Amino acid sequence: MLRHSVLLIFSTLLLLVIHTFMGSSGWGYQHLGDAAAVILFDIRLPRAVLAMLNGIALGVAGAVLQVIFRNPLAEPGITGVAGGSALAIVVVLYSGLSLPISGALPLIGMFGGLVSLAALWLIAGRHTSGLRLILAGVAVASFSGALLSLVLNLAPNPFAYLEWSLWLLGSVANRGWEQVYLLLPSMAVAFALLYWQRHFIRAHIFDPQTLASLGFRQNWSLWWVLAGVTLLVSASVVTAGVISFIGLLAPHLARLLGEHRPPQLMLLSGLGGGALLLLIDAVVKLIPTTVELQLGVVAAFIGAPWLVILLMRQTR
Amino acid sequence: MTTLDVRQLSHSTRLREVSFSANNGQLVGVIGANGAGKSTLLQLLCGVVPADSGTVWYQGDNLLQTPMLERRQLHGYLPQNPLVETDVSVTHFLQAGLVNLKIKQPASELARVVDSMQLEPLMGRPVTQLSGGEQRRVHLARALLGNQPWLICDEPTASLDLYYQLQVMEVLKAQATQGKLVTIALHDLGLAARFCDRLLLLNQAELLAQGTPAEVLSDENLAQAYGIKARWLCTDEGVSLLPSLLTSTSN
Repeated sequence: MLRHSVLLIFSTLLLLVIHTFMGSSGWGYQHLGDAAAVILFDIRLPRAVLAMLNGIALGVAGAVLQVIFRNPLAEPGITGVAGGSALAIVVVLYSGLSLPISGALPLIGMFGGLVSLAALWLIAGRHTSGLRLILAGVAVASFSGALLSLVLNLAPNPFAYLEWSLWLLGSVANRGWEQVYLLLPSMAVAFALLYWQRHFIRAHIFDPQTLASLGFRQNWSLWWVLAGVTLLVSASVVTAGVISFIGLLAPHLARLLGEHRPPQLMLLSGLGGGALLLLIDAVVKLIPTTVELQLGVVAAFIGAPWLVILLMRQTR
Repeated sequence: MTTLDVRQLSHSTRLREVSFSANNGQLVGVIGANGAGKSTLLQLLCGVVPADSGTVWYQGDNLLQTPMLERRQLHGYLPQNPLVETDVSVTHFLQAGLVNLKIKQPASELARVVDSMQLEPLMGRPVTQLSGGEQRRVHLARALLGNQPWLICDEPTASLDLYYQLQVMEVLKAQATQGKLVTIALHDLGLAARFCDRLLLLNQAELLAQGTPAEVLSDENLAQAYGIKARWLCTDEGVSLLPSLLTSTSN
């Protein structure tokens, strides 16, 4: 566990450096001339840090959802949490109730995510361990997606429509330190909530009956855990749009390293998510296209086949 | 004062107005055919399932109004079919089972239980890769953690071979002898007759009979609850039951 953590931290930091020194105009910083400091520290570094933090947030969120739903297919995107957050944020921005950079946005997104989870709970009921959760998640995500399309369809001008559509595809390009400062406090609060409820999360290695007998106030603990997860997801959606599948891939990466214990799985999944998103964003920067590909699109290209493999394994 | 006093305990159609009492130092067996309400009764007793009506008084406290964290210190619970899907070692599994127990030396508590259930050879192995019987012993060990005064076990001998069935029953009997109240659901009437101090016979969600094994396991009760007639083999070692169907056409 310690060896894997050190390895992942080292890989993440290495990727952070590589990502920062890598640009469309070439490798390094000498060729950037006088603008080198501005380009490196005000454009590239915040982008790399934002990719890493988003990966960590989504990796941890995915691991927690998989543990508490006892379902290796659970993920913020698939469960509709990310869609609900995005919808709430777009509605608030659309109505002019909030500025694009506002500390209230992650909380608004969290509200949307919690509403999605409540809808998921109503549809899936107690059957959160099987494919029913995924089907319910698809229903919730589709409905929030339809509402989102409606809001976009009614956008006041085509530029706003284009801007919101691109944001929803998921990207960390053209972001600055303000997005990092928006994300960090939400992550800190969410991690504090998850750490507070760590015993409850860990106890999900037991069957539901045993868990119910272990002295937890289950509903109370569960809602605090879900609040932490949705805060992570909504803060990610606010700063980088909807990036699917990282929450699915990162916990499986941790399991491939042999880690199944919930707290350790969350840690490795977070570190793995950070490294993974940095890597994917580096690929985004490397692909020679006229218009830079969106991060969420490339992540989906990698994650969707992985989901199919997992589904085939589970139904076999 | 009676240790456990259950009055008119009900849960929808699965259990209707069950009343009984039991004391520390007793091994109380809950028996009955499939679907009679054994598991429901144990789930209601340990608070995993909320009761619709009735009361559960334990040493003067109404348990149905006692917070779960306090109840955790009072009873250990082994459910009927606990399923482990997470690939963790037996050591980690048992360490996690210490959660919310107010004990001063968790390491020595863990060692005590591992020793009493002879689990030392299994400690490093993943729980998911153990046989059904080995998993059952690990689950029972988890329920024994904390040394609470009341132990509630739903079919603790299910999927165990004869050696471990006897071992588990000896462990549970020893817990009762030490002064604990032990409540277990059982299918094996031979084990129930041999080890239990008192029996509760459930039939179609209602309590049909309660008392000593000799009182409860009468021909009339067995015929009504199970649809069987029984011959009992009694030796110095204990008793055994030879059941046959009341409606059998084989003879």
